[in-house]
Amino acid sequence: MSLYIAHANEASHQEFDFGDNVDVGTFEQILDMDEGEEDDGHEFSRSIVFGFLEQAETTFVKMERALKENDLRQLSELGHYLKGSSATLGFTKVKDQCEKIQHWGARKDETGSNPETDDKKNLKLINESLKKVRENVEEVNNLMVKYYKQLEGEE
Amino acid sequence: MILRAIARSFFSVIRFPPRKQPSAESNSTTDTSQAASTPVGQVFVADAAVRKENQHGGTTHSDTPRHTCDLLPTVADSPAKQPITDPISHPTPPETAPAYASPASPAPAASPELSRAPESSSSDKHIYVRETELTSLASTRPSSLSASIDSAPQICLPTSTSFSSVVEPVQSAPPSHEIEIMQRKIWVRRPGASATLVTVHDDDLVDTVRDAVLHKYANSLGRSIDSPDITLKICSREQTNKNVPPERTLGPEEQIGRTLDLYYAGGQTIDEALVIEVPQKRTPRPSPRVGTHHPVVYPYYVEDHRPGEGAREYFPPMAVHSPHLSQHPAHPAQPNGPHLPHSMAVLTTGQLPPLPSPGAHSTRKHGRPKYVRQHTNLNKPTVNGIAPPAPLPTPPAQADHRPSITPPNRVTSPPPGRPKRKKQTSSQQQSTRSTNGEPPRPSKVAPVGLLDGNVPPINVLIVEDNVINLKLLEQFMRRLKVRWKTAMNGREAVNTWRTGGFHLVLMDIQLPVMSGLEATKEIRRLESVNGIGLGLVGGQNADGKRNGDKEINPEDKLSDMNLFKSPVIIVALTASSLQSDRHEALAVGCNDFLTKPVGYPWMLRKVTEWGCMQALIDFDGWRKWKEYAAKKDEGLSEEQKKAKEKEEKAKQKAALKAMFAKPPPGTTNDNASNEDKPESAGKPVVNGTSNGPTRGHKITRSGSGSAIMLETHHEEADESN
Repeated sequence: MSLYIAHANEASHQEFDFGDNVDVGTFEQILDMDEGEEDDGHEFSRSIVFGFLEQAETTFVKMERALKENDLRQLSELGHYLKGSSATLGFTKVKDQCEKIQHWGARKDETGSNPETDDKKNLKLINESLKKVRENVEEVNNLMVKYYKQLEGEE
Repeated sequence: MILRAIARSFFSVIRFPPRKQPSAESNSTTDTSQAASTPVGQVFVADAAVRKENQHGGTTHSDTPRHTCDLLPTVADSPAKQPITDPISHPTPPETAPAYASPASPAPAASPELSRAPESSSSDKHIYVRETELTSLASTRPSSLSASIDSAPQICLPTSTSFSSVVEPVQSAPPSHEIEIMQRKIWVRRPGASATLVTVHDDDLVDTVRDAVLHKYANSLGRSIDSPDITLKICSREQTNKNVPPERTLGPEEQIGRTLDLYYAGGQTIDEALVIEVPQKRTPRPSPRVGTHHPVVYPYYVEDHRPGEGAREYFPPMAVHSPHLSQHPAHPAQPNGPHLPHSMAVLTTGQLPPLPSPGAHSTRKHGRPKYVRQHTNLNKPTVNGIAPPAPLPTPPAQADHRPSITPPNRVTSPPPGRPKRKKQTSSQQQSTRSTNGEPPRPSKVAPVGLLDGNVPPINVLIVEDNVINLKLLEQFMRRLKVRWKTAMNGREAVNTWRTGGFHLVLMDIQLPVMSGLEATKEIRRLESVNGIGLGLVGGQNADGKRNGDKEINPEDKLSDMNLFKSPVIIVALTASSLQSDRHEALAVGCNDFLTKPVGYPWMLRKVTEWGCMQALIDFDGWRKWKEYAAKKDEGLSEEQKKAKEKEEKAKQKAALKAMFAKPPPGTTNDNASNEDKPESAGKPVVNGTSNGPTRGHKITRSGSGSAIMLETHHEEADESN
């Protein structure tokens, strides 16, 4: 399914297809928080979006380190951490992966409802998930770069 | 003089049409005092006749000065001279309320209620004024006369005349309307307390009196004991009855009127009030609101005083203020029935039932309006704030699986700094869904609520470890035009809170160093130790130093108590939508929760609501805080401030309860019905203080706020195009 953001803006009714990477409603809220009427009207959302992307990158680095150290607990916390911000921005795919990482790190199955004591399995799943989430973030990054370029073009 | 006395006491039993109340009341005030001081046994009024007469010629009696000097025959004649007013044209207007303000007033003489006779028969046919010789009649009067017929208008005798009035209908009256009962008022008191009057029938048994007593003491006694547990003691006047023991317990089977007359010839005075004694052992729970042994379902005050929306169905104004209608004659046939016959009788006869005086407040009779109200309540359970009870401070939030409060209506007051962007509807719905983790709710247009989007200038502490989320929340605060500080972990949160001046804490639950739950516990503990929020209402604790003399661990002591006027509101930010997490958050002392990711509308709503509540709780403190805030205006926009630590238990509920213990004036009714519900502590008080019915409101309105927002955005879009 495709979700669109339509800007009922003065001049343009442009739409941007984020695919299923972004929960448009949630992301809209971020955009809603943009203050500026004049100059760069998207500074806040831009800062928060790209702030997240940076945060994701550093988190991934930490996750990889924790993976090497087999530190499940740390992985779970990192998963939770990134889950929080990705959920805030509506980056659903990222969020879903992070949630799984959180659960596996907490020695549970991917839904978080049942214990999963096989640490090797958990680490393996996290490793796979980390790759996926990196891809997702990359995808979102591209979309956002494109999106903000488009916004600037409008302005 | 005797004639005057007669006239006066006569007055005291006459009910005046409401519109004449002022003059009647002023007159009666003096009468009452006089009567009370001189128990006049010689005043006898054929009350049935008076009643009759009064019912039809009520307006004539309002001519107070005339009756003060006129004699009874004149009174009796007056209806004949004056056009008989249509009984239905005397709806008891709300002005009856003043009379109820002092139900224990010794002589409800100026009772504004209009007696409505079911049937307008020749008004003066039963006027018989008997003098002293009727005293004996009183005791010989067959008790069956008044046993169960309550259709008559109730006459409230001044206490001083106790049993001095006797009905003696001469003509065989139509049974349904003409057989009347005597009512009498009896002084009772609890040991050491002031006396009060209860109204019973003259030939009622002591047992019935106990019912009436229980009714009167609906709060202090009625909630915990049943009427058979009450013991009534009578003290004899030594000089009159030497053969009676000075004090004895009345048996339930005794006829109260007879006993009183025996003991207190000439009438019971206030000093001779029956003493109410109750057993020390109390039933574990408030007795259910069913009837006592008496076949009549006994209504308690709790019900009486609810706003009577439903009462309008039949008798608009009187329903609210006159809970003690006489029973209809048809009543004994179906004591516990739905009482429809009452209404039917009225409908078919076209007559309104007679209204008793306000002094008849504690009569065992129940009035139609109560039942109407009860039916109404059954039909509309959310009316009167009867929300589904919930054990934890935020019932609505628990009741449904998402934040219970809809975003306020932005139409009325758009937040400052409007976003440039205008959004389409679908995206808004999306946001609603994602915020709640649930599908979008049906769009309903909410009425313009109390919270119109004006956010009080509160100080918010945001506790969130993720900088991205923190940034967004800060942006929310910026948009809400409130001040805020931030903390990145639980410990920091506690320490920042300790600096004082916060009204609202947005507490992420999963935090490093110290979790949000622990931080909440710690804050509640410190509040409790420092006595924050205890006895705040009413400005009793204005200096905030009440607990200063108590032993407080120095490290727990808060530096400036003036900055802690009331317990801070803690809204948990929970990532999971699991009910258990929420319960846990509420259990440690959070007042509310928001599910992450937090959407702006929800944030707006919560901040507005809780902020308003904080302002309402302690207005004085609020003002002081504002002064303080003005001084300290700097440093506040500083984001990311850090501080220190601590941890422990919570006592938020107690604190909140104390805080809310005093109902705001004018909302006592609501509070009366709320107080016995567990949720009275905590959030619902927002409703209690600001608007009673909001709780139900809130629930039913759930989801509508976002609908409003959608519309708003639509409009904006249209405008801008």
